[in-house]
Amino acid sequence: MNAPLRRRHAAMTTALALILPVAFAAAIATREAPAVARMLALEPRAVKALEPLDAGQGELAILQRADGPRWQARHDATRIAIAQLDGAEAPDLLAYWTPREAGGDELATDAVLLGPLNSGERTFARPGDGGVLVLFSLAHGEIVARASLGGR
Amino acid sequence: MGHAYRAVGWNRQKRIYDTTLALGAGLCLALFMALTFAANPLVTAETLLIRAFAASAFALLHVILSIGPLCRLDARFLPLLYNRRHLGVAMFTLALAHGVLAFVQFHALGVISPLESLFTSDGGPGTIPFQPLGAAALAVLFLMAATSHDFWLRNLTPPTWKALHMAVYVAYALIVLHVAFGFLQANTSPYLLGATAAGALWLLGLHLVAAHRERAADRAEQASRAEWVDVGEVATIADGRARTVSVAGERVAIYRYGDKLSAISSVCRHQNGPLGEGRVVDGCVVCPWHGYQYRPQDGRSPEPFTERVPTFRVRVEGGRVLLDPRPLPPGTAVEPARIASAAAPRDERELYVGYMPQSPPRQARHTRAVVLALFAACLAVVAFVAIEQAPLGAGQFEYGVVREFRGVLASAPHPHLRVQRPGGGVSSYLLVAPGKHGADALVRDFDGRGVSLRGSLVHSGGRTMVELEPGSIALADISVSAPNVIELGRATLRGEIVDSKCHLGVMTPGERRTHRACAQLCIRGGIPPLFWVEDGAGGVQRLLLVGAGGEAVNERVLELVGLPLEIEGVVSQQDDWLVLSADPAGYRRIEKSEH
Repeated sequence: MNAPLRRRHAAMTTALALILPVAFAAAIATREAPAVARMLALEPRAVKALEPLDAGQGELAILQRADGPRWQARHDATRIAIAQLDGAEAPDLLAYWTPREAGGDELATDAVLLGPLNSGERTFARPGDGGVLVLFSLAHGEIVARASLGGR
Repeated sequence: MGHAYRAVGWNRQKRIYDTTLALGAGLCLALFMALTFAANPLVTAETLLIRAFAASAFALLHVILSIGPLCRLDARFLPLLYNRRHLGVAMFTLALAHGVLAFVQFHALGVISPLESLFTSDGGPGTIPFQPLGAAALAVLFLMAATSHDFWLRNLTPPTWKALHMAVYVAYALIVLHVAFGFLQANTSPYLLGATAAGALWLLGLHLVAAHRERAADRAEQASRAEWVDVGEVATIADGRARTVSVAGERVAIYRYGDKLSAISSVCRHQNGPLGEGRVVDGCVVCPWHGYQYRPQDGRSPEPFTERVPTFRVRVEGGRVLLDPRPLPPGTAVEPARIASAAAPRDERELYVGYMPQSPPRQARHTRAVVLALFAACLAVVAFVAIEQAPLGAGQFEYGVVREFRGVLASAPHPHLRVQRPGGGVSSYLLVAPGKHGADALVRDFDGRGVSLRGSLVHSGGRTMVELEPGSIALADISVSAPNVIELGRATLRGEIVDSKCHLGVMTPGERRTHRACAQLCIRGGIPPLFWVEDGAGGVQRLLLVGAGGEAVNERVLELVGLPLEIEGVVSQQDDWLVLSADPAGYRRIEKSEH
């Protein structure tokens, strides 16, 4: 570089060294942490509140969809706690209970709606002793997975 | 210009250089996308590409800006400088891909023009829009890339061209601030912050050291008013090499070749490279930057080239070199000074410029080691960014998959389809139009009616939305249970306003600062706003946000979108949705000190 360019380079570098750290620090100083809220009061009341099953409590059943996603259903005499273990969520996923195994892709007409499933574990009242837990995606109109939960 | 140099044309080194560059850029992109996809399998292709291009371009920019000062500090880095323009254009191409994709993704398909959105969104009290910073940087880089050709170099003249290309420092500053006010606002990993700062410190430090060294050399300027200036002993100048001195405000290279001494300006006509750091090859001084050649006795490039540099008179008295500091017109022939003693120190430094057939072995080893190190550094940086970025959300958009849905349509407060669940109860699916538009106009004639409609699903965490296919709604004989509305009482909640469409899966991420402008545009276009609440332990709620009277509040919340807020209002459950009713006048931005 020629002398004027060398001087310009030195001036720009010096200016950058002075201004950039300050501007960068200002940007980081204004950074806001995500707002965090307590949400205990927000559970929909339509779902009957149940004491969740403690970890390790009850028997375990694994439900698996053909293309991969898995759910676990821990159940005792009165409750079924369902949680997705992995894979993508199914849209508008509902948990049903049917008294007996029914083949095919259709939801049995006597299926009892336990409630909607979404992220996290949901605990439902167990409608009967022996039966089949069915996960049904209403938006896809298909049974996603099912597992027979034996009587106790 | 040297006879072996072609201004435009390929040679072996350029091919190796560009192949290496393409391989490096491709590997960076692939590595970033693979790691991001592995950790976020639901990430959208647009997000993958936008971030991969950005990370790769930013890493490459650091490499580019390091080359200049590294060459000033150690001439063995010069092979990297030879084809640096291709590096710059490649980096610009990556940055342009990032910019165009982001521009389309975040600003297109809305109710205002994409340009207006780019420059007017993401503002509001206490926020600095980061996207215009990126756009400004891209404009600067475009100017540089467009003029990265010898055509412009000749037409603008080297000093002007070089001055224009110094705008890269402005572009770099804008990009760092673009990252700091954007990506780093939403990605709070201290390691990402540290890495960005370390990159800036590395570059600034390197340039300051190089500038200091240059300044020190210039400070040692000789007394230029004297008619003849003593510039030292002739015996200290190696054969084929030069001593560079500063006189009359510029550097002069005094070359020794055989038993002769000649002095020419040290400023190459091509890019103002340091001729005094070259060497004499085949009777010509060779510029170390790009290999331009000049005869030492008259400062002219050999035929057929026409470049000329000023020459200086020089003589030897008592073993000392005397220089007349007054420059002669470029290309003026000057009789070389004769040296009586043949003793000259050896200078083992190698000189290699890209058009030469083969790099000397030592230089080649050094270049290979440096290139491998830069490769590894760039890959490490993009891998690090991919791993450290915040999770990209779990929403899904069944783009291109059109399904039929049946239910009863409701238009207030936002269009939704109420779908009967087998066994009792109703699911509500929010309805939106394609692009960044609400579905109000599409559903207007069907409020309260049973319908069938077609569209693509968007869903996350049990919340469901349908992007309507325009014109697909048809009346149908369908009834559903009456709306189930349960008031849950007053609540004060902390969270962020997001647009439901992107947040539920059309974009990943569809929240936080990097998405703010898009969320504003979506909500402005009629997409229902959600209040996204996290409990800090993995629990998430998404509440439909309406005014105190249940009315839509889209236009009134635009400036507060994407910011931490506290809202006090009435929470109710309407079918399977939670609804937060609150007057926007009472929404309160959470101060940083309150976190």
